[in-house]
Amino acid sequence: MLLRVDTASAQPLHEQIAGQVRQAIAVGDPAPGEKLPAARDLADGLGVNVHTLLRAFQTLRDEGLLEMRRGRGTTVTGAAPKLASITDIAARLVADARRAGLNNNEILKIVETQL
Amino acid sequence: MSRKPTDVRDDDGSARFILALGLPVAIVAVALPWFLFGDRLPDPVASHFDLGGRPDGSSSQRGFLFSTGGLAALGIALCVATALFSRNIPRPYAPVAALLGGFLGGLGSAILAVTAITQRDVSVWTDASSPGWWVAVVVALAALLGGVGARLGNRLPQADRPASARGRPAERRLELGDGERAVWAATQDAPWALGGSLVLIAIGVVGAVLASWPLVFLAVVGVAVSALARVHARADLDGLHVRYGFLPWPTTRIAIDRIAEASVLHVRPLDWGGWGYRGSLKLMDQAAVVHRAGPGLRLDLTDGKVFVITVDDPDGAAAVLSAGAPKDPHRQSAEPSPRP
Repeated sequence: MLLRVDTASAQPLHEQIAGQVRQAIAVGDPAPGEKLPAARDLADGLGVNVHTLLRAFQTLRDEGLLEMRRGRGTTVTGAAPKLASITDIAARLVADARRAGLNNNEILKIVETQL
Repeated sequence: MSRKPTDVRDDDGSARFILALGLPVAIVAVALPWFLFGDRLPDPVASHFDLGGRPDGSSSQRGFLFSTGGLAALGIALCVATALFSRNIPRPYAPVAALLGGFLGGLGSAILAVTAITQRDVSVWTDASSPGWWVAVVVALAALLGGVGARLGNRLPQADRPASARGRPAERRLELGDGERAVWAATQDAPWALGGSLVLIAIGVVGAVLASWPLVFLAVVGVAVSALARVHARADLDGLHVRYGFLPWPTTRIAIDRIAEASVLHVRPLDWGGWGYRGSLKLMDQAAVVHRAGPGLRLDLTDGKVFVITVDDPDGAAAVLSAGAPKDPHRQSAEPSPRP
């Protein structure tokens, strides 16, 4: 798995990393059941704190894309391929909306009108 | 005429000369004590010891010389043949053959020497004392001469690697801005190594408890094999890092400024000496971590050495390493300029 971050960007590192992993899962690499590389390795390679990596992984766990079990590492869930591309769109929607100056309620309202 | 650094080897033929003549002379010299003490040795000599260090097998002097000296002669023959025919031996097998030649030669002649040293002035073979720490001397001598053989073998002119060993540039390209960083990581599991390691550890531990403690050696080998059961590879802008097995050691670290080129290839194990960790970046001019046939990463180092590792998605690794490579003005100017 290949990750890249831009330390000069205004977007927090953990969000950048979560976005990258999400996109990777969306295209099926890593596939469901596959183990992610150790957070420590990825953090060392990017020169960021391991907690930044873990925070990104936790976001993706809350989205239902990753499963984290002690001693067994982090694996991609079975539901991930279905969810990943949609959550990816949602993440970008939220980022664009914030940039446009919309607040949370306004963003939710926009999504609701589409339901 | 411009030649790649890999081809600039042994221009004066000295490696060939030393391997064909110097190493064999060294091997024979190691066996000298046998010829010095020949008339002070028991006949037959003790040729085998039980685990408690008591002699439990014997062999006539002549028979012992034929079998053990034969081993040394085989080693010498391998060294000479490798030196003579290296041009016809595809990489990486010439240094391997020279290593094996030096090792077998050293082993045979060191056993002769140690037998002569420890059994001189012994009247009957059953009185021979345990070789004890001399065993370590035998192993060390064999390893030393094997290492010398490998180093000489590296410098011999050799046949090119087969075309299937060549790398091609990664399909992915990574253009990184100033504040950008990238990492690629992958874990490769080898169930065969894990299974083999567990079996060895189990036999070693159970055997050591129930039968004989030296069997614990098998458990040690098992732990060593476990280093191949799981391999973590990581590429970042500093270079390639590889961790083997479940312990923090051993590792391989190749700094980015030591990497001349990162490419991808389809690994055929026999092109690289087989499965497992093959070769050595210190002793030989190549090392390969081969878990399976299939996609792999190939690094050509600035000193002409080659490192290969089988990984999934080697394109990602090659892309990161190429992005991290210091910009080489010569390499860029050599490429055709893009059309406007």
